[in-house]
Amino acid sequence: MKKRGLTIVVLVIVLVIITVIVVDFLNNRPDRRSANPYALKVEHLKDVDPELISHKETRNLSLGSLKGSALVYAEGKLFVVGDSTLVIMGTDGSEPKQFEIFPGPLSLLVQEQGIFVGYKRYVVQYDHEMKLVKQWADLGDRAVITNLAGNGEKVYVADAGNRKVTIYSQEGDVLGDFEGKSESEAGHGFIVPSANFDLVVNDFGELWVVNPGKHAMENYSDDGRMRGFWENASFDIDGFLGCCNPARITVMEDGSFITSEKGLVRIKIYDQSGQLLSVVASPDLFKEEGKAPDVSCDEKGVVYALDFDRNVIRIFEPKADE
Amino acid sequence: MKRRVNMHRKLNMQKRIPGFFILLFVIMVSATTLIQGQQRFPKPEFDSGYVQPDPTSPEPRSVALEYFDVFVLLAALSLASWLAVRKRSRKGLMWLSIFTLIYFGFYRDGCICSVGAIQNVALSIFDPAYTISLAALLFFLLPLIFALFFGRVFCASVCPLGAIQDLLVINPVSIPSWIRKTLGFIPVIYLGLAVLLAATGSDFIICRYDPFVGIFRMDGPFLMIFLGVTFLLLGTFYARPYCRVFCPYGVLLSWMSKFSKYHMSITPSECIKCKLCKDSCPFDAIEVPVDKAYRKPEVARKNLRRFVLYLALIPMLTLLGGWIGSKSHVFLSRMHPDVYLAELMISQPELREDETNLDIQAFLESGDTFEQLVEQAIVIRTKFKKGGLALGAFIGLVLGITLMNQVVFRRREDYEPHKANCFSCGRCMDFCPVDRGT
Repeated sequence: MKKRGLTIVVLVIVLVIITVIVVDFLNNRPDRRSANPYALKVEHLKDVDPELISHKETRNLSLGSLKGSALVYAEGKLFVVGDSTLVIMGTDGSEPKQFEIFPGPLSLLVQEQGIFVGYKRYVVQYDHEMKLVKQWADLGDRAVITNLAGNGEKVYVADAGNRKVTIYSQEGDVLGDFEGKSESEAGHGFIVPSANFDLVVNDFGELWVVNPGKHAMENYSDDGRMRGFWENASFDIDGFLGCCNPARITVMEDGSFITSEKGLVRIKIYDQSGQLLSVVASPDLFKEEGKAPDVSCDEKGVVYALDFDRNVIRIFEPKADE
Repeated sequence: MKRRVNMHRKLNMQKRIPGFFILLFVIMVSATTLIQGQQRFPKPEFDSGYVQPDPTSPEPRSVALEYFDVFVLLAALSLASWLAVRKRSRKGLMWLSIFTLIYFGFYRDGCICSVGAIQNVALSIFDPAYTISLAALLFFLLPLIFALFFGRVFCASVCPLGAIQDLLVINPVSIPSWIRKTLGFIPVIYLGLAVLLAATGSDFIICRYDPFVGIFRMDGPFLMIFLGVTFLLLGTFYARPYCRVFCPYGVLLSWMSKFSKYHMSITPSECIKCKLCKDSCPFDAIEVPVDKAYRKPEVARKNLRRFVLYLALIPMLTLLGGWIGSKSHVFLSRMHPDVYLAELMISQPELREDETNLDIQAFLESGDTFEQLVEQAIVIRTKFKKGGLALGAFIGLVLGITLMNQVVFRRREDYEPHKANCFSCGRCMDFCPVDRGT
């Protein structure tokens, strides 16, 4: 090829390169960008085998103007906190009684010894007449208290901000804390990417703490030594997915766990070893990318779920043939 | 006796130095392994079949290893300077460029890089919230400092972008000077635009359109691989096309190199004007001896008149460029994603409901209000008004100086490397038949 021809080829290629760059730049503008090819497809995960579903939704209890933030079933009644109010009502929503509490409650624990309301950085203890007993010590700037649990002697406070569980006496004295760490590989410590960090004490007095980043349930002695755990990170129905699930838990009388997940919202029941027993509520009943409902259950296995996205208490009763 | 002891110590030191560096290297590599081995938390085992997107930038390195990269850069620049200026070894320069291609290209995935560091420096100057790392700053400054003393030794054998092209120069052709000079103006515009976009926080276009990163990482979007391969194919007959037609850092290096005191020379002693060097240079960077006709009084007078005219044009071109740039600020500001998004949401409000539009959905999820976005867009547009003015003035100024340089003839008796355009690759030295002792 002669020099002139090569010069033209050079110019044409340079022009093509500039055109490609400019066209690519223009095609990556917000209104021209192609759909995200890496989007995680979760549509198929919403399908749950009907055989697995053990409960059916029977009733909703509206909370009216109250913005609920935590729910507990105890003493045959439902206890709900939100805004600056605690509401105690029957399981059918009857005879609601309202009590004024400090504003901004986030969690709740009802025991014989009293009613404990968790705030972002501290716990407030009331008696059953809803008289203020004591405001416990502030846990500091980094604290984000997400849930409370108790065994009648001690109160366990899940602190997502500091990624630890603080142990209190019933009088509000700090007895210690633990971060879930141990020398074994299992005791990595609590991985809490968001303010979803729950714990529960079952009827046998066992303390179970969710390690949400590991998708694990960890059993601790009452002074914070790990005794066992199970974990299941999976896209299948029997596992947990996302950054921090299960976001909320409660226990049934037989020690089974009721788990509530965020993102792909679903409520499930597991036995103590982590075997999936059934599904209480499938994702199609909840808002897409929703918050994990706070859950509690009664002696008959009725599950009460505080749906934050709809601001109602949703009641799921076991199916008749269960 | 004392002198002998000193020499003995010196010899011992020389023996120890390689050992010390090997030890240092081993420590650094071990440190990296440890740092990389400790994850923030164990990744859960998912088996979903989901294919994760490849990261667009390499994983961050420990600070110690970033400084090790700076050390390698400094060592490579020093060695390249020695090979080009003192040793005059084309072969040495080529082997060094193979090493840097492997290290900075394939091992370091083309990042960190002096070319892209322009943007970090620009952003750090104009955005007080952004702090440039010392390593990035040194990557920007060191090649320029070396160019000021020894010419473009960075281009010769330290830059991986240059190295990969240089190794594929097969049958270079020379194209007409006026086309070369016209194409050579593209890097000036690219530099100005890249600085403007980086300074306004809009985009890092040099990195985004680095054509060889996809090849270095053996992965990348089809478009970037296509661009890289196209550049390499073009480079087989139009040597180093990226360096000559696009590289914005080359503009800065050429300015520095113009003033280089110890630039490599073609011949080690007296030039015999055999023209072999001119034929050997694939970059048309050899200046020929100036024709005596230019020294004639009538030609000199004519050139003087043109020189004065072009000199007078410089401020006019600068002002005109500044005016055009300032007037273009609305258009230019749309390159910033926030401005584009704000305009889009004003002109097409229905797009807010479009769940497939990732940018709008990401904005809505951010929690910011639309009013905040518009306010932000107005602030950015104001920055573009000043930036557009500066960009236009810069382009006008460079254009004026380039025109003026067309009529400036310096006396030159021998064939010499064009200090600004010469990549110090050493091919001409290799072809020069004159011996050192001649």
